[in-house]
Amino acid sequence: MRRRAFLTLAAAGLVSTRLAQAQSRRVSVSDVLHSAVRAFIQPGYERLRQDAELMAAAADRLCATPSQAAFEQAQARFRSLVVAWSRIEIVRFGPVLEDNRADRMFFFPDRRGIGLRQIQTVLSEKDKTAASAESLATKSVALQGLGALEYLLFGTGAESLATGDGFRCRFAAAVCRRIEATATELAEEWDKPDGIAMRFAEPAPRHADFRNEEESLRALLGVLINGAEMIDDVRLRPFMGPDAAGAKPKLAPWWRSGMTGESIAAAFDGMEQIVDVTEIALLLPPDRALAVRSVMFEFANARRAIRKLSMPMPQAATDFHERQTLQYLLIVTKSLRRLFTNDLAGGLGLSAGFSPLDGD
Amino acid sequence: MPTRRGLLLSAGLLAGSWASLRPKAVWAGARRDLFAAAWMRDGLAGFSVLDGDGTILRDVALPDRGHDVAADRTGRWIVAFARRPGRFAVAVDRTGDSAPIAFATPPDRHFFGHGVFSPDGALLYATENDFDAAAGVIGIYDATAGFVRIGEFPTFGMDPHELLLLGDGRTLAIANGGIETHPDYGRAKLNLSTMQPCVVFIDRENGTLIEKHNVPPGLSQLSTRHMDMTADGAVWIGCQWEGPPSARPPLLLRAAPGEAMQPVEIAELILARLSNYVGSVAVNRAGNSIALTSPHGNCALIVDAMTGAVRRIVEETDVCGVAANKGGFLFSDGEGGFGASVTDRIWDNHIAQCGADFSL
Repeated sequence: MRRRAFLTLAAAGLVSTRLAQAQSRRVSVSDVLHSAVRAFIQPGYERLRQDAELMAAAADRLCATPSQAAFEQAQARFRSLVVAWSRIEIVRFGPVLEDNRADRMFFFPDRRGIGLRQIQTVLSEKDKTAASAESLATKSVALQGLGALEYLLFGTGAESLATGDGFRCRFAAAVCRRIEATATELAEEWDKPDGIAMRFAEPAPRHADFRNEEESLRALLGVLINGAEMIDDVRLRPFMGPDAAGAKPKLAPWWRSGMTGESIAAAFDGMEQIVDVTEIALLLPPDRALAVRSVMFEFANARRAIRKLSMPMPQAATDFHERQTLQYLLIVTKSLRRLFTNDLAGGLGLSAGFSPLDGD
Repeated sequence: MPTRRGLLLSAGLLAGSWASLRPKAVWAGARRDLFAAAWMRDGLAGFSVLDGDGTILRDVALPDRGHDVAADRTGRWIVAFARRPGRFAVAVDRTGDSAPIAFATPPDRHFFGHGVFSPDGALLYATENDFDAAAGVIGIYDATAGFVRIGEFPTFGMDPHELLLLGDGRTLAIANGGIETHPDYGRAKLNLSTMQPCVVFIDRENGTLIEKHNVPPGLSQLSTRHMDMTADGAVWIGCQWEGPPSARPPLLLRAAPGEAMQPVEIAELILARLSNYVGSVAVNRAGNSIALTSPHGNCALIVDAMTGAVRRIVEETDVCGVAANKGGFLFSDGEGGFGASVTDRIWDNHIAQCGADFSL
């Protein structure tokens, strides 16, 4: 229900209206933190858990009764799961940092192709320990997440799933169970009444991680700043290369499933929702209050740029004309980084530790 | 790839500029503690030589943000290194009016921002990233021949950061931080689930590994980064935790050739103030106190080298640079503070000692 309310709000373009209405009010840091948990983080992880569960069920059906329809349903579930993950992936504090859960969900970038080699080895050797969720849990994180599942559902030989490739399907089903287990852990950790949600939203000196409101607010701002940095440095720039001839589409995340653009759009959506539902801009001093309009303007620009692409994002990098749109998207992303760092964090007196000048 | 001339031009370092920056009256016969540190100001980068009062005696432009500075013991050279993933370094000859020498890593290497000279000042050793192989190397530069790079040897680990030359003049202690980065992915950390940080002792004359000290079990995400040493040959390693913020790992380790690496126990409530991040380490001149700075925690701890007891907590926003001085320690910060002075620049993470008796 919460999720539906969310999507409806964004889809109806009510974000800026709501912000405009809120400008006449004030919020406390505590309000912002509680809103972040209640209206973004918890529903985000809950959606991830639900989609992971549906994905696992779809894989089970595919393995039990292979067919083209079951195969396509599994692929469709995967796409939905990627969107759910990409929206919440920007949260890089709390339980996702424990037990290597972030890498366990999505091991990316795999610059040296370690994960791919491991997957191919499992397939070629029909390694039974990878076809059971229990034994898979003890293996490399690169075998347990969305990257592995994408290869199994969309990579070389994936079409055999439709006609009955028993081992590949059992491996995929085991990966789905691992993803579901990790997603469930994340959702449950954030739902515990005395867990991370409480420590984050009600920081206190007795907590090891969030001892005061400033630390929590920094973590929240970090989601925005580091999220924009991730899109820029890790998701877009590497596959774009120096020019169209030098682009490397296969360095893009989700290039096999065609979800590159949608995943980046989902990450922008996630950041936009944080700004919106937390009303964090209301904490800004009056001379910075208008910065949020610039932020929302850039979110809209990013959305338009992604929609404008007439071919999959990785291929667009190789096309002279389409590439210009991607370069514009980079400019927008950089602008958002600057706005988050200088205007939001800076306006709240928290720029130290966020700027590119941060430690080493 | 920037050419050497390009680096010089962008740094404003071609002939003449150095002499014009040099206030000879200030330098003649200077016999006081001298320090050097990199800075940013209004988007420009450089490094300064200062006295212990924070009086800026000399400014040198850099093409981009610098990190640490190395000074040779003979009193001739001061070299500033680019911050990762930068490739430039700038050397200043304190004995003459010649223009600074800009040099760079090969295209397939970048600096990590730290270096040390051989005791005779003839060779400069710098920590570098062989990023395609994800391996650390020490680049060797000939100071007698315009800092031409004459070789390299491996650091037997990834992400070498600070290095020290021990009292025997031959053994290098190197902190391999264990974090994989690649310039194609900005400053993103690519291997948090598989880190293997360590400290190594290497014979600088032949590159032989003398000893390798892995971080204590269960602390594979404890990145070993900055160090100083005491007269007994022990190195004191300040660490940065890449695991969950809710954990409270030791942030100060002690290692020495022939002795197992040990964590220094610091009371948990005080340790918590460092926010799991140590930005710089210095030992005082008496060799009985160690300063750990934390720009994330906005404080520095002065720790007893024998007992680990915290003698003093220095509260200072964005404090990171630290060096021993006559009175104990000298600190710098990201808000312009350098010792007792407030300057108009953002000081980078480190302060290098440049001796006391050099006629500049």
